[in-house]
Amino acid sequence: MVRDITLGQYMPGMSKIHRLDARAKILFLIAYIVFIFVAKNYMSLMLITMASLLVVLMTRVKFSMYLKSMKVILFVVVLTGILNLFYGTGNVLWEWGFIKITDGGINNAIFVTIRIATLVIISSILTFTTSPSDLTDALERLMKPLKIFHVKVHDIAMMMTIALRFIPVLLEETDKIMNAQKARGADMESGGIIKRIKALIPVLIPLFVSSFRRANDLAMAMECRCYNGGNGRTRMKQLHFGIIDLLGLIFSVVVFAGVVLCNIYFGAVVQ
Amino acid sequence: MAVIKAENIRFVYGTGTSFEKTALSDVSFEIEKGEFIGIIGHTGSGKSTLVQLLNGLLKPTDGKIYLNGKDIWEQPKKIRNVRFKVGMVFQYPEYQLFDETVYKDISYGPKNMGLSDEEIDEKVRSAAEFVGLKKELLDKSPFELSGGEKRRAAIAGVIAMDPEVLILDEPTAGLDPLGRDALLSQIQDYHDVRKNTVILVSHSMEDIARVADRILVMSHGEKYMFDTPENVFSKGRELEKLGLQVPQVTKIMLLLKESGINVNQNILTVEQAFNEIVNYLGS
Repeated sequence: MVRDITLGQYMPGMSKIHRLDARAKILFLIAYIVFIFVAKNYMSLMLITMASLLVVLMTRVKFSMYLKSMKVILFVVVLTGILNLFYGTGNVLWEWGFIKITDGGINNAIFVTIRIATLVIISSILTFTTSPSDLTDALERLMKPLKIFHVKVHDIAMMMTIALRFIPVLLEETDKIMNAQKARGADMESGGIIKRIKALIPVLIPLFVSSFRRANDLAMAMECRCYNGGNGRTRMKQLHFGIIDLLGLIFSVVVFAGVVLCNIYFGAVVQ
Repeated sequence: MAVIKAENIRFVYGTGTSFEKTALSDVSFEIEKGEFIGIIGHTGSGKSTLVQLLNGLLKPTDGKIYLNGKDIWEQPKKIRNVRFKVGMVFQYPEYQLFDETVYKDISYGPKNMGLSDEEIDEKVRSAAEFVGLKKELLDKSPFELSGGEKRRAAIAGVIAMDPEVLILDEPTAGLDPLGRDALLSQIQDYHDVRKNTVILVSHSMEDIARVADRILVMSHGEKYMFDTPENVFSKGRELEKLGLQVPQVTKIMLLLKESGINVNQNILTVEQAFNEIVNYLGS
């Protein structure tokens, strides 16, 4: 059950996308997200979606993995899609009492659905193709300018590294504790919502306790190795902005320019 | 009649994914009522998977498991009843403690069984006694106990359900030698008094040799041997090939025998070895 979560899992590989500089990948991701929302008509939306799918193909990660990460948020996507169906202006196509469906509403629904789906897929590209340590390294570098405002960039990055590192550990632990309580007759699969939440207490408390224990152990181990923050630390793996990143940049700029041109040329369908 | 009967069970993890891995293949055995069974095997031999199958936490990919002659997966909705009858103590069970007091934590299982308050009280107290947990500890928070006491409290939580079959997965892991001996004797006492079936999974040949009536040796997901400790450990050389150690004292006797000294090699404890050597020297 808990093992089905794929959102944010690294899939080791040697594809071109894997080899992109992690900093570049983060910046590209932000830019793509912005341009998904810049796209105002079907042509530009199709362009950015197609570009995203092309990148998906280039990662050589099985498409089923992307679908799995979609599954987690499927409910949200469908719900927002349906809600958007009723919020819209324009020609009324169907009416029943106070419920109205307009062509603007249909456009809204399609746009919202495709936008969220693409958003999840391109975010998955980042997490599927970048190892957690590269990812936090890159974030630390990108956030470096914030040091002027006395933001503890290194500490934040270290916390993220630790958090990511412990997700699989905690999942495994949850599984173990759940089994142990099931063996004592815990019933987590039936009953109403209140009963189910109550049934989780015997799982959550040991999980909290062991998280604190682990945190304590880890802090002690770090201190024993004289960890004292990021000052003067050097890195084993250096990040390099190379030719492959330049190619990625050119590709992205072309796509973004295409989106803007399509927007101007075909006119907006949604706001 | 056998209390537990496994018939050609096979278990595959992650069926249909790229992580597919066969943990058990074609394992069959019968365990009689009141037996004390030891399960040994190196890491990854399928021991833990096997015991989780026995109490219905996992469902076999193929094959059937019978409890008192009834297929445990006949009514999947009532699998909880199987778990009450086949109590399972996991490795490092102290990490499952959660309630405000030790008493409440031990009563979690009996409460889930739907017993009356008097019955629960009686079962909690007798379970605490079996594992040697002092009365005054029952009102304390489980998180105030020492490591060994926590382990005992967690085991009491399973014993309190009064299962027909008690499975313990590495119950002595991480305990000091004294604590280990004490816990093992208590488990043995429990077995002697209640006449229940006990299944002990362990790495330690010494532990198993001391307490088990029969030993199930697992290797690479298959049943390698299922026999009395004497017969199992007399095949010391074969066991070593599987990456298992016979008890040290058995090994010494084996070496003595191999170097031409005619002693009985089916020796499991230091005491037996002492007597055997004295006999040999006397003759």
